[in-house]
Amino acid sequence: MLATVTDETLVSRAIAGSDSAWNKLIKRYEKRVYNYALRMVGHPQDALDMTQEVFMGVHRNLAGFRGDGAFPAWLFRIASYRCTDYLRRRRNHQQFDDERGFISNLPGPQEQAFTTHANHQISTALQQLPVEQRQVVELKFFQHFTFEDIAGQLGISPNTAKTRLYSALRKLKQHEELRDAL
Amino acid sequence: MLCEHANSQLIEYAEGVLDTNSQLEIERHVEDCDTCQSDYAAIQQWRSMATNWHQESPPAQQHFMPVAHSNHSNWWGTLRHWFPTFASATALVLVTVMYVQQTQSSGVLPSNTAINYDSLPKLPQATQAAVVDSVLKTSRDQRQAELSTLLKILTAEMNRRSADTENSLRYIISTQIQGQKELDLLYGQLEVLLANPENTALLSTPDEGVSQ
Repeated sequence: MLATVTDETLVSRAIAGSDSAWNKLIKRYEKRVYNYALRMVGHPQDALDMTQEVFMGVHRNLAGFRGDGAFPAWLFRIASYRCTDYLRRRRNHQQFDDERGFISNLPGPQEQAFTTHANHQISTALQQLPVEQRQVVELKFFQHFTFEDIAGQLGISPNTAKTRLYSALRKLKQHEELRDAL
Repeated sequence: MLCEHANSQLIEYAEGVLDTNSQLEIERHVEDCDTCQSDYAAIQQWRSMATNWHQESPPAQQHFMPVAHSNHSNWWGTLRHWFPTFASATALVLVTVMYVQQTQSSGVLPSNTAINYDSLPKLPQATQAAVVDSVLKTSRDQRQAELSTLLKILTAEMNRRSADTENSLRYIISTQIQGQKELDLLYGQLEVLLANPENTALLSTPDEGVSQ
């Protein structure tokens, strides 16, 4: 049985100019990043846009990956930055629409956009949280990072990351959609 | 064990990453503490939900960065990286050139750039003032319309672009604004001349063309 090529090896080859290595790297992480984006933004089209931006960011900064940490942690540092930037721009657009009395094109997550009812409810519940708390919930429970990793990805201390997580949990405990999903 | 100490370690407890003694201490605390029980239940619920999340697939036709890059530092990669900035710069230059062309060919003054002032008709002072006034008004209206459109386009572009290209756009726009300020200075000189037709020292063009 052939051993799986490590992320670090693929990154090195991609930096050296290997198209194949770059495509394998994308293939390995595209679903994970897309699902991350979907839970963070709640809409498939937005999730696609954000995923595209994440991989563009990865591509642009690939040479900056020094290999002194795990590739997923580095990848999700870029993803977290892109996500914050993306949601900030979306919020600006929404404020622009609100101020001018336009009908918002950002309703809650649509159920038909998800393959399961539970996915829809989870996404809806996550959208109730401020972005900072949503990111910590996502990175802890769905990506299984340590608080040290999360702190590095978000540029905060581990204690702040933990505090945000507990605040999010207490806020979500009362959420009706969430109770239904359990 | 203090509640706040136990509570801050509930995640690690749920993940089973604490040493045996700490696991047992927190377990005993949680049995007697309603707050920690509730928080622990919430943690377990989210862990369970994360496990049960059904992985969604991006649309089949979607390919992230489908165009393979041949070399990270070659000229093609650099061009692709900077293409949006080049495109924006080109668009801005085109808009500026179109604007300048429009103001030059406003229909009031001859459109050729090499003006032979000796060949221009000698106009009465009132007519000169009317001509300058017309040029200024036409130019300003055109500039206002152009800049208004440019502002809308750039606002939309700035919102779409990443932080990397925003800086480049800001530089280009600030250069444009500087150009506009220089134009404003020239218009200011024309305004002064319009208000004081006898004062020709402000202009470097031949006297016959403007002051008679």
